[in-house]
Amino acid sequence: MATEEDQHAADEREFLLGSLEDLEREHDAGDLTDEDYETLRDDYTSRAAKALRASNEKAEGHRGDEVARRRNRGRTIAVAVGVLAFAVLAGLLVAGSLGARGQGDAATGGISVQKTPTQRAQECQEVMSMADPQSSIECFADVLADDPKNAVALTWFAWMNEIKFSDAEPSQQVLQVRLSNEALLDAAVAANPDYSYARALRAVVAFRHGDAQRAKEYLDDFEANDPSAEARAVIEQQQLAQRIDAELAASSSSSTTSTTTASSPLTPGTTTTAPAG
Amino acid sequence: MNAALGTGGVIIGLTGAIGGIITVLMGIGSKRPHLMAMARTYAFMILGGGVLAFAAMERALITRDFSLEYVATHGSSATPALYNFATLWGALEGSILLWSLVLGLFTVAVALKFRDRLDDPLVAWAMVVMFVVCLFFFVLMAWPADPFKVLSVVPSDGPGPNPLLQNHPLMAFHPPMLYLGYVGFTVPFAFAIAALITGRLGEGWLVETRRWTLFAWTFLTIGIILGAWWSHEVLGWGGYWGWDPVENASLLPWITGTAYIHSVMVQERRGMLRVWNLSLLCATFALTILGTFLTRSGVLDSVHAFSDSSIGWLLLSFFGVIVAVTVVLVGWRGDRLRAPARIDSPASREGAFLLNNIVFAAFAFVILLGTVFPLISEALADDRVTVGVPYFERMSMPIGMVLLFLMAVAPVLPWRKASMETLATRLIWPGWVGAGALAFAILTGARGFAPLLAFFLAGFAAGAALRQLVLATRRQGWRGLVGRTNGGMIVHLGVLMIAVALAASGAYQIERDARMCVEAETGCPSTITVQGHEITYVGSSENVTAQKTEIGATFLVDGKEYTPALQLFPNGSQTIGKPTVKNTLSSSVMLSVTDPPGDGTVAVKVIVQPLIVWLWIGGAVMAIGSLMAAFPGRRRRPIDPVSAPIPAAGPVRRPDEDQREPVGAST
Repeated sequence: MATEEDQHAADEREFLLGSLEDLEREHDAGDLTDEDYETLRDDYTSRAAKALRASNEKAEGHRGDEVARRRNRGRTIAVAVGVLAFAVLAGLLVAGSLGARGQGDAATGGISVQKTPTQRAQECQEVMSMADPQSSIECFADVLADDPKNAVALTWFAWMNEIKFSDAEPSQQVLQVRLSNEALLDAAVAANPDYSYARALRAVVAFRHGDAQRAKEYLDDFEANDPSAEARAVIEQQQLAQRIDAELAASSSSSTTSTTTASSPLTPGTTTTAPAG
Repeated sequence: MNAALGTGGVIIGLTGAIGGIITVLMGIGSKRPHLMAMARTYAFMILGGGVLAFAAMERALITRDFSLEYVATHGSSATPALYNFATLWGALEGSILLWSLVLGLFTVAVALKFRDRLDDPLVAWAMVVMFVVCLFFFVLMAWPADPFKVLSVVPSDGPGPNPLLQNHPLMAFHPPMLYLGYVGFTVPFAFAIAALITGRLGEGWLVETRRWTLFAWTFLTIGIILGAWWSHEVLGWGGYWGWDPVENASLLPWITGTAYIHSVMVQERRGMLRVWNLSLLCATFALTILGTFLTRSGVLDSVHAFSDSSIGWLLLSFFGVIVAVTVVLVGWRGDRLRAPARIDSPASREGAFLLNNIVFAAFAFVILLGTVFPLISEALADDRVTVGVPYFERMSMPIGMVLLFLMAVAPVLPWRKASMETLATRLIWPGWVGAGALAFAILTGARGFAPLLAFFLAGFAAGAALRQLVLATRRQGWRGLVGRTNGGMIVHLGVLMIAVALAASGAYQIERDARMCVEAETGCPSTITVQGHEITYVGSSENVTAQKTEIGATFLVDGKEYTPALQLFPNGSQTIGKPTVKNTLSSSVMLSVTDPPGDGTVAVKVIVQPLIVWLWIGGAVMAIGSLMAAFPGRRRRPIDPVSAPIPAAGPVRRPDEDQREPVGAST
């Protein structure tokens, strides 16, 4: 049985001789230019001769002189430096492209499945905060820039604006903002009559603005339009109906109208946990 | 019934793999040919097990057997037939099942192809390696990724597959194509390991596995292109490649596989790059396993999620074993891997191939680094980071340009050394084609350094490829279009179409968001014009089926009706967009509804992209070119040069060909 080395040498020899035949056929057929043909034939011939010589020497018990190949130190260093430089460049660019990865974000790249303005508005709701209303206001404003009639963005943009100015001293600007918020909530209801939060917050805002009568009308309108359980929970949690009734009763027994803005239990913090859309 | 059949199939496959390993190893050890020849029987046993398991799972999905956890979790009675069939590979356990089936097919194909040489130690060792890989995947199915788990409480229905996986037919074809590619690389890997073990490291085994490699590469290419097409048609973001980890995982083995397809020619012709080629083949296979680890272990969600996944550890361990075995074997056989010659000049075919391989290696490094960096960062510093698109684009653009240049120059270079006269003569026509492409691009309004450079280089490279094809067809007629060199040039043309489409669609994309009304009013037009395309909103419609609710908005685009929609699936918490694309050879208009239409209005995104359809045409040309490179014709010996004259009566046989010869001999 042939040894492993013999088998290897035989494979090599057969391959080279076969390749020479292939080369002839390729050249005859015109696949190879004369120049390529000459070059490759010389190369195969010399390799085949070397393989045959090695085989014969082994058969005769000789061991061919192996010429140790010299390493080109300069080239090795140049290659190492090149590889290192490329790795450093790649590393720097990676560092320059890093960003924080949130829940659900991909580890790399940026396939952004097309989000609807409503989905974007729902994402804005996740950053709503009493401490920093401005972030969510800007987020909703971006959505409204693309879709001015988006009910979710209109609703929560108005509400966060309401929060932002809730502690502000009464002034012309504050009055303008409050009027604007009411108009935005009306627009939200008009844009999507089925969006319960718009109707709910319209009632809440009217009450905060001291108009209990209008708040009651809005609350009745809310109840009459098959509100979602989530929106109803917000109203119930705030006991809006009871507070409106109390306010109306008080106003009917007193000529003095009190505003509830400062002492309103309708704390904006509840909205941060309100379910999306 | 289905669970029993499926589990039976897994057990048969597992037994076949173990039996095959033991029997063939005993045959090799005791030099008993009949034991080695039994590899074929075991290969059929593995395939039989895979087919049985696959059929059982499909039966369970089709008959809605919700007693199986897999069907209860991913199936649904409302899912249409095509997507229901494709649900098998829509989740982890099913995809491992498909992988095992395809692996069984390849194992049988190798056993049949080399049926007369199964007692050759090289083939025997290759069969052992294939059996080991089969064993690994059947173990996964038997233990951590068992697709045939049975529920104690059977639900009446399931949620169905992920909504994104059931709204375009391409999803039924893209994963199997990828798997044919991934799994196909097992064959050349097995022969590479066998060559290292047996010490038969000449060029013979390369010749034997040439077509297997090309076959795997072709399917991987088709799979990647189909994935990009699906992304473009379904996600509605106007893109096709987002450098997502899952995409990167498929691109990595493609890059190393492409490098190998080029560098292997240097070894075949000049006997050089032996270590490099072995390393590339092993790296390609290892990267398919690494890709599976990345996409199937949960590690992408979080390295902490990975620790909960038993399949993740196994895949990572298997990857480690592949790398370790390769390194040890290459080190062991180092003396035999020494090249008999050196590259004489960089201005030669082999010099260009070497440079091409360096660039491909750099490309693979860039993508690998970007893909695994977030995982390493999280593992070491508990810092959840993401590597953004700019990194990948900044690095890949210059690499792409260099590759285009090499595609122009390499095909005209002779082996060993090129004179300046030769280069000047052979590059003159490609140069003119490149200049013509540049002039045409400028005349048609293209601007910007990067896209114009890409157009010039693409024209330059197309000129080189066409030059080769024209010369070949002049000499050989239609046969000048087949064979490795000529088929390769057709593949190059496909790549160039893709390069031009990438440059044009990336640089000149126009995007517009608009709210449109059926009856025009202030701030809400009924007709808009984007990049010369007139788009009119006609109205909306709603279509409710058991599978989904689809709210469509109908538009006229240049007079032709298109209805993009939003879809809500019963199991989906979000609406899924269903864009429409109007394709012409010069540009594509994509419409996606961005908010449900109502009250005569709709919010729509319009994206106009030039030449994007050439991405898909280029992909098809690449696939055709690969087939032409692999299959020169029935009447030839497989390893004959394609343009060898066809013998008048039957193939010419050398006198010694009647003798059975070991693999790696002159064939």
